[in-house]
Amino acid sequence: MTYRITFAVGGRARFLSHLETVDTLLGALRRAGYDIALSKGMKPRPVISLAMPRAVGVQALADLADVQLVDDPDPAELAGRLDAQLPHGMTVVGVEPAEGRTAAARVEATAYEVEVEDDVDWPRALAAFAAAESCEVVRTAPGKADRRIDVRTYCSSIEHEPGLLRMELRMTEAGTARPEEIAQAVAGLIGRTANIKRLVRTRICLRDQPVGART
Amino acid sequence: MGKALLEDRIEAVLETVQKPSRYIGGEANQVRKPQATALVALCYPDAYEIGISNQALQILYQQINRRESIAAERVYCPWPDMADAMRRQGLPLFTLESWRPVREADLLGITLQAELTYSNVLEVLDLAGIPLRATDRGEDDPIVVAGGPSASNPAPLAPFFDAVFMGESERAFEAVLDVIATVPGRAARLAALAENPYLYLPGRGRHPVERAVYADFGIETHPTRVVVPYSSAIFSRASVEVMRGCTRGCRFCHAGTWYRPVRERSPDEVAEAGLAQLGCTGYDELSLTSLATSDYTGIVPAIEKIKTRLPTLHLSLPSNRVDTGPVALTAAANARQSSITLAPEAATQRMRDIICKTITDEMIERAIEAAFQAGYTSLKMYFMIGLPRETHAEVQGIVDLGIRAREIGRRVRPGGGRFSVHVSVSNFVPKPHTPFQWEGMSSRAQLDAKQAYMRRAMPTRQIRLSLHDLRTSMLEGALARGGEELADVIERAWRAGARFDAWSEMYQEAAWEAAFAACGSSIDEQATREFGEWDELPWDHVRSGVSKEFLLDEWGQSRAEVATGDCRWDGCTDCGACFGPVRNRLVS
Repeated sequence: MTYRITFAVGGRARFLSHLETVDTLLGALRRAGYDIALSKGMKPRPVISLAMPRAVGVQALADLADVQLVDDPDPAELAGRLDAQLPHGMTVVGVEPAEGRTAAARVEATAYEVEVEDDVDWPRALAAFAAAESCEVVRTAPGKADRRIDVRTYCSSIEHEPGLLRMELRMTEAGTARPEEIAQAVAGLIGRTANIKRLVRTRICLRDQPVGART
Repeated sequence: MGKALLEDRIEAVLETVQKPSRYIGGEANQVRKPQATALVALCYPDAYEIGISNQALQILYQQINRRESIAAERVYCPWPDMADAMRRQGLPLFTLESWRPVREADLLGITLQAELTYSNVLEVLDLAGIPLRATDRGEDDPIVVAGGPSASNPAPLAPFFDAVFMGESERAFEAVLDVIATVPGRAARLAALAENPYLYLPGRGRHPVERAVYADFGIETHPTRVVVPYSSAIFSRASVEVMRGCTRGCRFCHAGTWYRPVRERSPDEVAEAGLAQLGCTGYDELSLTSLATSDYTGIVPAIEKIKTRLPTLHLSLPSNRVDTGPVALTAAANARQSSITLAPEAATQRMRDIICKTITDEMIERAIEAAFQAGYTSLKMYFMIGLPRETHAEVQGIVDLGIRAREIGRRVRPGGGRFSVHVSVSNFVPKPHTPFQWEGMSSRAQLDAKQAYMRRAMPTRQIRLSLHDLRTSMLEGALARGGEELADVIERAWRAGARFDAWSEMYQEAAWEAAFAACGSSIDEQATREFGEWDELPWDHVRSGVSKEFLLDEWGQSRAEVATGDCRWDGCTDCGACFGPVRNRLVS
């Protein structure tokens, strides 16, 4: 049976990479006594997928992993036993049976809290952002050509409170924007640079929710 | 610095470095013991992913943490980006478990597994804020103790250590821990440690020191709840050490002397320990480790017992003898592997007689054939060049054997079944406590010419040739048999920026060359130095148990090109390793 595990990553565990997070979940499930289903084919691999990779250093309050087990344990029991095996900083928020397409294929939006220094006039910058037709940033990646991205199209909401930017980002066919790109783009509109202290992913929203499922 | 403040500052630095998970700890089975009154920091002086895979430190970690009053915590050498950031921020080196400064430890144990980690020893001490030289340390500094196989020649790093522990820790290190637990203060502890026969205290002159041997090799000391590394580690599977020691007597092999005699665990013990470790770690693969697992006399029943309980488990059997039996066993144990490794070490019978590698051409060919028949699609073979009295025929022999393996592959896997042959060639480095300890390393020019020849002569179709970095081999050779005069060289090289020397991309040859030159020598002069049989060797005061007479006899036999038998089945060779309860213990 396939389960959707909602889990939080904080403390020092936020420095785990995406791959390390996956391996940590798999190891904890095995130590908890569960057999993970293997994929078919020449090189069978455990059937697990995370809804969204998490950048190193980013904290997450409710990330999602779909994992297929050989047996079908009670979700509450699975949650308890898995939580006991996770390293400090990782906790299970909830477990429910999952059906249909994986969470990774159904991500509609993500919500972030970006801890920032208030040395930028955020209300003015956000007003400029709201008024702007488009707002481009340059995305650089090692070994790839720089890309210009209009982050405005991905940001469905953004607000400021002291020390914090809350934003919701859309996932589209063309991808999405990173929260730090939004913060820099907004600050850039009034000629400033955002001083980001911490990133927290608070939610991953899925489309086509089955009836009764939580977001 | 307050603890909370230190943690905040560490987190801030981790935001800026590559692979921050190297420094966070928190892995499954790590031990936190805030109630302990003493702290031992265990260090592997290389990157996390190398160090966490070391089995010896896992043994020590469990051994120490069994004690109520002492906590063992881990520390590795920070990668240069992290080290530089720590220096900029004034952050001290910290342990992974509790993020405590290493300098607050009562004892800092550093394992020396390879000469190319020596500059990192200084990097670790410096980052920890511990004076490099033992003579400069005060009451507030930890006692810095070295151990591990490369400590068998303690001379090159001697001034940087308060003590060097020789041999196997399982029983003998308990006395050191007793001192840490019961005696307060650095000076008093060092005084109490002076009577320990397995500890060399460089501050007290070159006094005799013995190698500790764990005679009964009981399963109770085998670590069960091993720390499960994050996924970047090079070795990520459960493992049981089925046997310690090897008496094959390969004359180049340091471990072949240093871990004598042979001690085996029973198949029942092996199976129980393996299953227990699998349960505690969540690994899906189990490795049966030793210096030569196919020589373990309980191998077949051990595999049967494990497979009965876990039929689909992948078992890996590293370090196997080049023969058909071990190849078949390896293939049966793990259906998932597509590659197999054989280590003929030398390609001609003459050279195998010189180095005492008692396998024949026929055995090698049969093993290659068996490997392809078993369905392996990748065959890796290990060889060395630069061995004593090597001629062109030996180098040509490696090329020929690579080609021969390809021919066998084409015959056994007809119709173009895909396969590849990987020929890996390292440069022979003479090591202390071996019959070749008196030999000089082959010159750089010779090795360079041999490597160039192999590159030209080895066909590239279906054969991949990899040659070990000559520059770092020469440094390894220079450090391996050096005396205390090398301490200044190592310190100079480190001050000029040398660190992570085993990583080719990090190796700073100029820093090392300049350091040797400043001390009136050179890498090549030191590496190629020959000793006469009456010369005093820098490690003569270290009693491995194997007598110098035996090593001299073996050196003579190598010049006569005669191999020596294995005492397990060919009779005692009178090497000196056995005494009282210390003897070969085979299960069948």
